[in-house]
Amino acid sequence: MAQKITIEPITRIEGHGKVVIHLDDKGRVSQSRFHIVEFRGFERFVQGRPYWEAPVLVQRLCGICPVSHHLAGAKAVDMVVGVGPQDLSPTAEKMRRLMHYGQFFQSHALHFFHLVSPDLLLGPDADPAVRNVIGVALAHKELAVQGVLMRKFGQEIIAATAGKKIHGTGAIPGGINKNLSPEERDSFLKGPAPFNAGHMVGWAQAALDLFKDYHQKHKDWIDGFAAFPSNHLSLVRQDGGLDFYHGLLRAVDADGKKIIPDVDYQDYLKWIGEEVRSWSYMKFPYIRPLGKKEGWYRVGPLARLNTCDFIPTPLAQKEFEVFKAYTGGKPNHMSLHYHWARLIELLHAAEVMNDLLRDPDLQGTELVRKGRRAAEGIGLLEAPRGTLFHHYRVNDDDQIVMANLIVSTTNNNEPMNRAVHWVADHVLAGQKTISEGMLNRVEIAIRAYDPCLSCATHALGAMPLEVELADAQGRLLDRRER
Amino acid sequence: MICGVGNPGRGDDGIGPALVSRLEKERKAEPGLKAGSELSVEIRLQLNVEDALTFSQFDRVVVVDASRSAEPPFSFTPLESAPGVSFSTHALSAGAVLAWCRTLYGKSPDAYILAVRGAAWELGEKLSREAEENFGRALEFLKEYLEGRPPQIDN
Repeated sequence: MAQKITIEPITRIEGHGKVVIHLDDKGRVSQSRFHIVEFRGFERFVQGRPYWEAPVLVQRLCGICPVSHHLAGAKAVDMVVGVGPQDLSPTAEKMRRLMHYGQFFQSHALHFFHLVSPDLLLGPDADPAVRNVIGVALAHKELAVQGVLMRKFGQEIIAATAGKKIHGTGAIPGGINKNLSPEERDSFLKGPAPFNAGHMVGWAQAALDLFKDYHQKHKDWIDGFAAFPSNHLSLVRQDGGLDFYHGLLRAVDADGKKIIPDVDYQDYLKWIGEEVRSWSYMKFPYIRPLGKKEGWYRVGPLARLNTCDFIPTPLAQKEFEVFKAYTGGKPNHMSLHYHWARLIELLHAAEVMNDLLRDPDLQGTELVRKGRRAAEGIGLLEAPRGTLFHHYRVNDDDQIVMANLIVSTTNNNEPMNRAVHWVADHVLAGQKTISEGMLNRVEIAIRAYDPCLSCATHALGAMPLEVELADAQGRLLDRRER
Repeated sequence: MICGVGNPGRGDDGIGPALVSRLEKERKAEPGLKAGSELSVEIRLQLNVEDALTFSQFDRVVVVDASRSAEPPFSFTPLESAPGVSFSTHALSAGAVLAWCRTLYGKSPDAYILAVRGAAWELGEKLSREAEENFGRALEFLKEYLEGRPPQIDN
């Protein structure tokens, strides 16, 4: 009998995810789609605004990762004022880097401790009443407390570099508007344990060790769940090293062969296209040389560790070598290994903060530079969830006349669809009853990609996921909400 | 602590931060305003897990947020602890923060939610006319509440 399942908590007009699974008459998955109602109005909203407002305005795209948009927007308007990434003053570049790595640290900590740990520590089939962060806190209180403090540390780094935690104005066209005072620096380096940078490195290592221990005991599940080959894309440093803030655009295929060979991201339009599909508001980016069907790709932690050649901090590099050895040096296509990669990045971010805080350039006084005015600016960086593209055109009156944003989650649109399809195929299809654990596995697949579904905060609402199951004729048979 | 939550770039979703900002401005202009020295104000685009640590530091917390469904002009109700996890880090309710606060830090502040009815949620930085009216009435209520008027609890 064909069925339709829907998971949905409180429905909202935007920023929610909807999974529709179609089963045929024999109970096999004939189609599955992960719909994301993405709000694209922001690209129109910024038009007509002065370009220098972009780095502040774009932060309102997202209540969770505003810093990524702030810095990508700043990189784009840097080009408008004629200051390329290599032209920033050392103080400006390093302040932005510290801001960026601070937000990576807090974002990755939030994701692991708040979202993933319930599944890993309590199991995907645990009673929903306890399979949440409170369940983790009751069973592993120290871990939950650490997660909150790690998040807070990253937020304080952001506040010190951006001026405030929310809607910071730190990055401005051509530079930065403040440096880091010696007092601020010392509060992060010498603060009472555990609230200092060195301690954060230790906790990040401990979180990674926790995952590795779990992985050892549950290899079949972690390795097999939603594993499928793909291309991978990210920025890499000129020497091939992992870099979240700036680099060249690189993509590799499922075997690790380069498809986009370390190009200047100012030329991104030659390499990346965006396909529109009738059933989703969100576009599907693809690598042009491979075409729409074969050109989809993964971004984010797993993709970054598949594209880079090394990690330029010692503890994370050691972990990277273990990670690469696990797949014999070939790209890793296992969706749940996003968590492993994310925790290696958490460690790397902690190491970078710990090192960068000691750099005297952060106390420098040359904050802004100027160059020759241009009519267009493109800024790319690696956000926690993946490669983020900001592209603006500006008229002679300094107004933005065109804006194109490809947010990280959009890049992962096709991979998330495939992950959901995998779950539908392997877990839901052919079952006589749909259990809570089965539905949770749909969420697990999506959680691995840490999607950024909302470009706004909520008015007393929740973030809904809706799953629908339809018969061969498309009739709704069942629907659940979470 | 009074905590205004919302996005000022999304029309009436910015009611919470706007109301708390106005309260803070008036408090600074009127040093004699009761509870001034005992009151802390915060603004959040979105509540996050670290806010559990913030909540734990206060005896009483009022979260001010816009609402699509509250009876106009506003409702003032106890905040219920609501543990839960989403598939996304973009969802943490005030109730979930309260649950974290209790579980992690053993603290149970008196917690309330002032839900101000909004009408327009599109991109934009101004409140709608309806929201402006509700905003004004909610602000007066909040000031009276801080002056010691017992809270009216909606059923």
